[in-house]
Amino acid sequence: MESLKRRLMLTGAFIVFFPMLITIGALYITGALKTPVLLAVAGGAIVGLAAALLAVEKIMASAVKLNSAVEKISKGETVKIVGADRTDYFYLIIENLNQMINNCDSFKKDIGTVMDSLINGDCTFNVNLSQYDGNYRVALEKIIESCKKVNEPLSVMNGVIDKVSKGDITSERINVETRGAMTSLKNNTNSLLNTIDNLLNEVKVVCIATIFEGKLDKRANVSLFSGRWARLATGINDIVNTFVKPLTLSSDYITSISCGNIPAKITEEYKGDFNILKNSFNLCIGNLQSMIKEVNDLTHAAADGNLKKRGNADKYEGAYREIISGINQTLDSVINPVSKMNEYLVQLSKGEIAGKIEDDCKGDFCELKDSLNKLITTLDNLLNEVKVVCIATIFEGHIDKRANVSLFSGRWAKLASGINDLINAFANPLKMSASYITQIGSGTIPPVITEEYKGDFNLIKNSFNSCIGNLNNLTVEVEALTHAATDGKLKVRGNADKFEGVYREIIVEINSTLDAIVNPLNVAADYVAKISRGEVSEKITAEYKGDFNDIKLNLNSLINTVDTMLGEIKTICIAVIFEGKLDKRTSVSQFSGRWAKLASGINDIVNSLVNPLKVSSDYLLKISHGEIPSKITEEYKGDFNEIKSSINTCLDTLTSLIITDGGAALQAAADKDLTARVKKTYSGLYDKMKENINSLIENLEEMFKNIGANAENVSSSSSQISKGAQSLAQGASEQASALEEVSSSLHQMNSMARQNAANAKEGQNLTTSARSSTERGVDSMKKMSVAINQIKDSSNNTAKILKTIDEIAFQTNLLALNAAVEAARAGDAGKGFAVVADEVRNLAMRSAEAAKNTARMIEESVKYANNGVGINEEVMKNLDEINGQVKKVNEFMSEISAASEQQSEGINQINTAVAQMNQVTQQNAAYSEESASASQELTYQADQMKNMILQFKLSSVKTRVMNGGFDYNSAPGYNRRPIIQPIAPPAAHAPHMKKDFGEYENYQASSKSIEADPKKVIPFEDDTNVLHEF
Amino acid sequence: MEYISAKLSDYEFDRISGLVYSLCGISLGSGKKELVTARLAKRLNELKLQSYDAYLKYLSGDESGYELLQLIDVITTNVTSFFREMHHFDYIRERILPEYRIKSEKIRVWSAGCSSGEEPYSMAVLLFEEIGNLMLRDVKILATDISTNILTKAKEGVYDKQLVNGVPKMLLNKYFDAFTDRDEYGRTLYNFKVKSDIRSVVRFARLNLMEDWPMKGPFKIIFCRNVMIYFDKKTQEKLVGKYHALLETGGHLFIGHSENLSSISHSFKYVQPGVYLKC
Repeated sequence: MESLKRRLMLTGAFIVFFPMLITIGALYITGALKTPVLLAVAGGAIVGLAAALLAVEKIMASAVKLNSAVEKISKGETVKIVGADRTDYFYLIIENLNQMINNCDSFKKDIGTVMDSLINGDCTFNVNLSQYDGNYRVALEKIIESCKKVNEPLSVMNGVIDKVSKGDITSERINVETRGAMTSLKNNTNSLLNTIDNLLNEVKVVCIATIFEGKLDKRANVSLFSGRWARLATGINDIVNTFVKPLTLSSDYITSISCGNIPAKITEEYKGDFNILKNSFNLCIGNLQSMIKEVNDLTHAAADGNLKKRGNADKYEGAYREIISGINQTLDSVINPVSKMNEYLVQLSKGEIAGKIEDDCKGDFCELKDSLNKLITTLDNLLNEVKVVCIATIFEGHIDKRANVSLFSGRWAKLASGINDLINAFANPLKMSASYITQIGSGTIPPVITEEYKGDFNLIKNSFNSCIGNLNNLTVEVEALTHAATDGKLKVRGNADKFEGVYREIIVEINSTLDAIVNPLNVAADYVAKISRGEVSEKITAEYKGDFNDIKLNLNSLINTVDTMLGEIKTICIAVIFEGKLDKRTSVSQFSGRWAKLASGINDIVNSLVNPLKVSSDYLLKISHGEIPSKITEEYKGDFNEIKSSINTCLDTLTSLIITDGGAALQAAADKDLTARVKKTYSGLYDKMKENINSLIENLEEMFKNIGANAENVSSSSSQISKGAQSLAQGASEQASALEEVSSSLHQMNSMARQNAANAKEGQNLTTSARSSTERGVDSMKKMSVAINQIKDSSNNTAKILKTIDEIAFQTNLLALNAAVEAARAGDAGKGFAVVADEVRNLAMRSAEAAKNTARMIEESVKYANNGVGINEEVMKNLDEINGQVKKVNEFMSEISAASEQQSEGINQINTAVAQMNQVTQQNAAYSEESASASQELTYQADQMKNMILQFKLSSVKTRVMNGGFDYNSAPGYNRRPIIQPIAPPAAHAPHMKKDFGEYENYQASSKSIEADPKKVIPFEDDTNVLHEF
Repeated sequence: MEYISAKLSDYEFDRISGLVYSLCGISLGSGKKELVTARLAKRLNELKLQSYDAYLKYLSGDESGYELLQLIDVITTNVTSFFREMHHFDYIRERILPEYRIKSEKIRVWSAGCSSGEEPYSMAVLLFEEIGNLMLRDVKILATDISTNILTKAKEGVYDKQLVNGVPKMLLNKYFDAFTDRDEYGRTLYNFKVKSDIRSVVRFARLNLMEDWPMKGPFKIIFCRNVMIYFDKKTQEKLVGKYHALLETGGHLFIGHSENLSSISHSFKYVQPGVYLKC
């Protein structure tokens, strides 16, 4: 439809504009439209119309878009209108619509959020109200408010119910302002809470009554509840009832059982589990009865001392069987430890506080053992305390001494403090008694006690007083007896009649005692005297009665004891002295009382002998193991002290020799200090050892000094050798150089001599050829002489011819004169003839002249020829002389040649000798190089040795510090490689080299660095192949 | 023919000694100036050069490197003899070779600094004497020197009668061919040529000890006697380390009687003077 519209519009526009254009064009073409204004108006109208058409089309498109959006909104869809741009005609409307759609969308979302929160019980309602205005905001606020109203009581109730569900039923009730249905909900909830609370309280009361207070009669008050709650309460009461009855019965039975009464079996009827319980009880009662019998039997057996009796477990089943066998096992496990414990207890009961129990025990016995041990310890402590107190009070009379209660705990502490109290209770009367007794003891009968005491102490007081009275009397009587006895009147007896009761008895007793004593006393005295004299006599066999029998028996046992003692001592003597068994002791247990002390005294003596011996032995063993133990510090006396001090002296000596003095010296030597010596004075072998150590160190020192000195000498000598070898090497080099020059000169001389010989030979040849030349010269001279003579002859002949010519010229002249005359005669005709005649006459004249000259010349020639002949003869004479001399030169030359050859030969021989010398010199150079190297090594090693020696501290050697090793640069005569500094190392020096050689670069156009790669320099392909073979 | 008596200036001497040190590690002290002068005079004469300056120019212009070799040849001292330091050969005979009479293990010996060949030939003679025909065994002696001239002479294996003085007559007859020759003046020379069997076990090659060694080793014996005295301590130490690496375990290094490894650090075990063992 849209496109149809557009098309229609376009068609319309076309229909309107096309004819218009045609018209305008036609008008224009036909010239009707002449004015451009008109044309412009027409164009403007067309354009305006087109624009209007386009605008209409756009508006229609916007309207369509808007329409569809509104349609969607009306259907509840919140779709944004898209494609709205500012060019749209309804832009603002679209924008507002979009805004509205947004708001609706957001509002919908927020309502959703609120509802979701409500459903989830969350009343925070996380909604931003500020983004809304107007009605939106009001609506949302209302919704949230009403939600909150509903939620508030609910959450309070929820909190309370939550607490209840967690068992926390407090008095707290729901107390929120509610309305309508909410109020009723609140009230119901509260009443439920009350009921639960009451019920719980009742249950609690019942529970407390039954469980904690044992009041099984307590029941819940059902009347407090109604409906089902009342039934629940009743139910609870029923349950309690059901349990309580059998429980009471059970309780009775158990009480009976626990009281030791086995009740009769239960006969009442019970149901279900209670019946089972009843049966169980009955079974239990049966078993218990049987078991009690069993246990009774066992107890009886145990009471009869029959500890081996055990229960018959086979009679029982299950736990009872286990009980009986348990009892049996218990008995087993008890009786052993018990008997052990018993022993201890017996010992304890006898007051013998034995050592602690060491036996292995298990379980409770272990505890028992520990307890016993603790008990023993405590008893021990207590006894000690008591002993201390006893000693203090009884023996030392310190009545103020008390047991130290703080040492004990619990009942023991009470016991201790009880003892203290007891002592306290006694102490005062005792002190008083003591002072009385002291007085009585000191012979002073004190006055009657007048102080008031109570109870027993009063009785004591009275007794004391009566005692004092009796004593006074008794003293008198006894004094009398004593006097008698002192006087040796053994027959005087006391007067018993003076006294009553005990005192009378005393006197009677004294009397009878005196009677009874005197006789056996004599016998006993006799025996004792014997024993004291060491005469261990026969046992007393006479019969005595009562105490005397005791005395007799005691004496016999004394005799026995003495015998045993002697035997023991003998045994120990043999064991210790002869058999070396130092552990042998007397068996103290054989003896009692003082004898035991004697025996243990003997043991002590042996111990005091053996201990030092053992200590000595230990020390000697330690020393033999290389250990020097610390000195004996224990105190010994007498000879033992001497042994001790001997051992200590020995230790001192050893310590000194091995550690402080001798050891230190050796250690110093080991640390390279040879100046230390063993200094202290020793005796015997130790002195010898000291001397040996000292002489060892001295010898070492001496040797090192010598080595040091020798090394010094070697070093200096080898330096000299090195120097010498260096100069030798240099000398050899120079010699080689000189020899090289000599050799070269000789070569030159040789070649010169050879040259000379050759030249001489050449000269000889030349002279030979010179001789033949001169001889040929003489021949030529002779031939020349002949030739000259022939010239002379021919000259003479010519002179003759010239005379003829002269004669002819004269005649001719005459003829010419004659002719002239004749011509003159002839006149004019003769005139020409006259001229010829004149000419002929001139010619004749000149001929005559020439002939004259020639004749003169020939004469000269002849003269010269004659001269020539003379000279020729002279030359020939000279030539002959030359010939003779050349002969002589030739002879000299041959002599020279021979001599030169001889000279060359001689030079050759010299050259060979020089070559040999050169070789020797080369060898010398090499050898001197080698010896220089060797002597340097020697110097180095000598210095090494010196340095080693210098590490030792020697008494009289100047310590010269060598700074480690041999310094090649400062070594005398050593100039091995100073050039390394300016030249080497090559790599670093290379640029320098190049630069240096750079100055030669102009020498040759293609010149390169002299530092060519050595591998390039030496392109020996086959060399590389050979090397690769290896 | 004119003899050249050019003077060697200190500067020129320093240049030459620096060059020699960088080329072959031989250290020429200032005491060697006369020696250098004398030995280089030969070269100057041969090249018809008037001064050492001119010689240095010639040297730097010689691209072939031939003159450098000649320089090294004239500078190196070549003194050796047959069975020099006999105690070393005694040691080898008594302590090393006995077990190889039976074992047919391969034997590799290197004479480093062999000079005119007396040392490797002595070793070859000893091996022939002690373990028989080496042709049947895998035995090779490598003989190297820096001087090409002396190597040429060594390869020839021809020695003047005076030079074979140290060889026992019996061995001389057995392993040398005597022949006569004439010198340039026509005099008779009495020469001895090492027999081809001996020569065949000795392989000569030029090697500058300062350069890389292509050999893989391992050698049983290495001789480097009276060679290291021409080197400084640093170079000696480097060389001894390389010898150690090339020796087999239980192999021996022999150095000259005047030499000692005590002042340098090394891993050898000292056996007796000049004899060191790789453990």
